[in-house]
Amino acid sequence: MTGWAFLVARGRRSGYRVLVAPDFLVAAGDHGVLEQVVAAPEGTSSVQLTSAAGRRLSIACATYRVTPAEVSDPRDEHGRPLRLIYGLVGTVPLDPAPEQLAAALAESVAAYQHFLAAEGDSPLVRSAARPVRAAAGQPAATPPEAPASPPVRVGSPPAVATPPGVPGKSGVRLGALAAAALLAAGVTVLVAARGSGEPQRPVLPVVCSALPTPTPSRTIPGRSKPPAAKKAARCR
Amino acid sequence: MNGVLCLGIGQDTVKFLVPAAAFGALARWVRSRRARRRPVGERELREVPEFRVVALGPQGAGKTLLLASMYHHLQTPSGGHYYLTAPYDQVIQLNKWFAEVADPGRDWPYGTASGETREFTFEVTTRVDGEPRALLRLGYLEYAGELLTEPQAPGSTVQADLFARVEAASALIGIIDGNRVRQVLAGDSDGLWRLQQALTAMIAPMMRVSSPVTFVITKWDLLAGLHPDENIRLGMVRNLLMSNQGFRDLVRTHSAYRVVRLVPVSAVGPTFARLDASGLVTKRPDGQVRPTNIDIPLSAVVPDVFEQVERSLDEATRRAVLDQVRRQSQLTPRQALRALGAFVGQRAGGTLLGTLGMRGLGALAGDLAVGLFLDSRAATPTRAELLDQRLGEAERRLRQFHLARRTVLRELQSRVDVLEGRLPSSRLSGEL
Repeated sequence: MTGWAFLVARGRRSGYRVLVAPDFLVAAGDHGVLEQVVAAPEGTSSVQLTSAAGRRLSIACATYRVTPAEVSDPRDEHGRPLRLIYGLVGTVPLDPAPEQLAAALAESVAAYQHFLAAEGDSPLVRSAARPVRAAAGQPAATPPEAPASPPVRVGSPPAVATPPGVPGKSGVRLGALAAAALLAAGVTVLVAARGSGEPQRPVLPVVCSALPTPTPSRTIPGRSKPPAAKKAARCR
Repeated sequence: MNGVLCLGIGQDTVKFLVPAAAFGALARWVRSRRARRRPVGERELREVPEFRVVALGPQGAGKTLLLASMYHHLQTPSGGHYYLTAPYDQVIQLNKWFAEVADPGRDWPYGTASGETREFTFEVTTRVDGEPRALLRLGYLEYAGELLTEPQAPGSTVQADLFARVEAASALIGIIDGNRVRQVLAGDSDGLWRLQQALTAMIAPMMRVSSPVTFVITKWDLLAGLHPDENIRLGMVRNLLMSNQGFRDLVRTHSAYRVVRLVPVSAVGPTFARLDASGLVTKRPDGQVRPTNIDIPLSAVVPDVFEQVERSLDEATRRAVLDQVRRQSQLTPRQALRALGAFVGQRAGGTLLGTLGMRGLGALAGDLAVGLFLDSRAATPTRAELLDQRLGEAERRLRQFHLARRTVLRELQSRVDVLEGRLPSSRLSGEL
């Protein structure tokens, strides 16, 4: 199982920012999702996030209050204590061993000391893959690569491997959409077939690979087709 | 081919649509019959209008302390007629923050991280017939200050979410770090640059919307040494802020139709914190929390939204609205409800409703929003109104509710008026 260290922290003057992030997220410009991480004040917590590009990430995180042993006068310019929100990022739920989290913390502290020394000018640190214990019941390996397609959140191939026999969330949604489409098609066929002598156009069930787009309340003058209509047209 | 077929609908579909329309009409009739049987004013008692508030301010300005102290102060009536309630999980979080703030032996709470953005929902509650009843709801957004001042990492969506909420807000609170102001007035050039940066970051989104703004000077206790007279002290701060072009433009350009205030606040009070040798704010070992003006920023929300609504009405509409207020106060609750419904259908009522909708009250049913506004313009309940014995139970309940609401709306207004009387420099709109 593979994991990547991450760190979110604030400086004495500057606000919270991502200071350490997985190399593959940085390369894809998708590491901003880590700004959403909220760690419990004590102990290790798990967070599931979906990035702007559609990556599904599992994060094991914790907070650490910076001490004078690491930084002299560990307070920000407003007199508040400094803390690190750190941990490991994976593509399946992680259950890191204490020494694995400790290693991530050590890496974070080193990066943080460097950041504080040159606050504002410190570059983002890219963390490399490392072996991490997976949560029970997870498959042994996962591909670290991002979804190849642009950010289509629902209906795109799942970024996370799903255990056999357990449908993923997107699978369930896709199934529900397909069922709804089939039901709608059936109702349409029934209504259309009742008593009309005219030949009916065959009604084909259409399964779109995206969420239904909300219908705009008004059409912008000059536009031939609203966006929803365009999406439907692509689906055929 | 008949007209229906011209629209591209088959005859069989018509066979289906006609009974469906008949069924719909029947359902509406049944609903209206049921509504008539409901006790008078039940909807008014059940549906609570919400005002969304966003406090804009840079990191370290004191947003979290302000929120925690504000809730702590307002969670009991403290001699007034209303208090705030919140869902239990939020109460626990707010009390935890306040405990961290108020304990001299503990450090200040950590700064808020971007992922810790969350919305609090407060209900302005009063007692009607001995029972607690929510009159208004105030949504209050708590977020990390750097979302306002610093660019976000690629792929982050939290900043966009914040600005969307600013645009949908009924009222804005601009948080200005009083310690930063102190640094500037002491001649600190770095402090000046950073104050300008913070103001610029706040003013830009404020210029895009037209909701009322209350600027709050936090850490007011640290400015006590500026001048013994509080109003003169506030005047010095006001002059400093007005020297910033963006701030001045916001106040001058918008003051004709927008309420802008400047309220000095201390979340901890005058004897709790001090500056240490390195200039950092620390707690005094024997400090006790006694907040200053902590209730004003939230108390001002509803009066300022409604004042702005009234100011944006044309003279004829305004007169018609005030006439309606007078008329309503002479009617029984049932008659008043009927009159309110008729008023909303008239030109003046429709104009008022449209203006209220622009102030974020659009989600509320039209007559309820208008009814709330009319109550805010009504006089203090008279003894005769309070003791009216001729009413049935449902009407009496509704009357008590309206009177309690009027009392609370007057009290909110009076808290703001008292501050303005004590500190005339706190009113920025009208500045020329």
